[in-house]
Amino acid sequence: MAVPDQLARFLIRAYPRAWRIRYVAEMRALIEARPGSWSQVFDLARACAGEWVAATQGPARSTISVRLIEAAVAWGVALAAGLAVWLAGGVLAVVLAALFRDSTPEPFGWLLMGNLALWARPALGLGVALSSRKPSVLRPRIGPRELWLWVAWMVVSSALHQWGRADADFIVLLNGLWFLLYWDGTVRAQKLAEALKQFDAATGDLTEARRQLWRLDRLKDRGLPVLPPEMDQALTHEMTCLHDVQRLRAAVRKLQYPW
Amino acid sequence: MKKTSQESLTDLGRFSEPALFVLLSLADGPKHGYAMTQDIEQVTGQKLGPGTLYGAIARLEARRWIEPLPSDDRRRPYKLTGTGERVLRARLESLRAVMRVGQARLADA
Repeated sequence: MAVPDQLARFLIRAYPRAWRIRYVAEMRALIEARPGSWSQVFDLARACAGEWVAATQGPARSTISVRLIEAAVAWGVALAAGLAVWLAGGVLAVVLAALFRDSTPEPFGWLLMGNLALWARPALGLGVALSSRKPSVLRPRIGPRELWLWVAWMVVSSALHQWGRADADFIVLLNGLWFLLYWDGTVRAQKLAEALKQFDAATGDLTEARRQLWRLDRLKDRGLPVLPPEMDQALTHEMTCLHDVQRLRAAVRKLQYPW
Repeated sequence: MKKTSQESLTDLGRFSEPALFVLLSLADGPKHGYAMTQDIEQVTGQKLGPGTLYGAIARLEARRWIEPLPSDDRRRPYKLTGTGERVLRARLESLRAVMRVGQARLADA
């Protein structure tokens, strides 16, 4: 089997589970019917990433697995950012050691001794992210701004630590600042969640009405009942209005990210 | 009403064009994925990848603009629903208006 075919089969298995269950057989049949190509592999990779992003957006993303993905992403980004700064600092230290031998620490010492604090920070981030699984205590999920703040904090504190200008007090201060921001976000999110709950209750009947109209529309597709033109037009109009309500609900749900 | 249907189709983001092609392909009867790609390639000259095609199909099915038909084969055929047909008509009407304006302006130039 050619490499593109093998990659295509692998990528199909990498789709989100719900998506895979529904479409994997059809996609396999389609791939087998066409000669494998690299453009097909690229298309699958892009679509697979898109489906994962779509799976983590909108109202259906409250499962634990999605939160674990978010936590893993937060951990990975924080680790990569911190590691990049640490390595860059190490390289710069080598250069500076060559230029100003007396004023910088031993460069290989920096690389070999290990930086426990560097590894502890992403581990702490993972703990914070995992703790978001308790919506009654902390925020329902990690928001984009928190993630950026976390990465920025990682970069700054790693850089300061690398250059030896951060003492323990400063690190504690940064930790405190992070948790204050986190707590503030938690309070905001809980207030917003309450408002969303009320909005859900207010528009729940409309959603049920839309479901009923969909059933009527499907019956119409099968030829029953035959509606007069004005009723058909009215049905289309109602469905469109209710579709807009559903879009509004989806938009409001996105406000769960307060920033 | 018509305007909203168009917005709904364009709301599919990068899938709006493949979704239009899928609706267009199903306009003359049910087809499965492979038949759709062949038809779309023949009509538009564009070859849809499997990821793009099924991304569009999934979104259209979620909106109930198309629906799957029962099949014993792995290749499941899809058909256009009444709503899907209305959305397609509205979109084509919009494109026709754009085409008319474009042709008129080119004729004036």
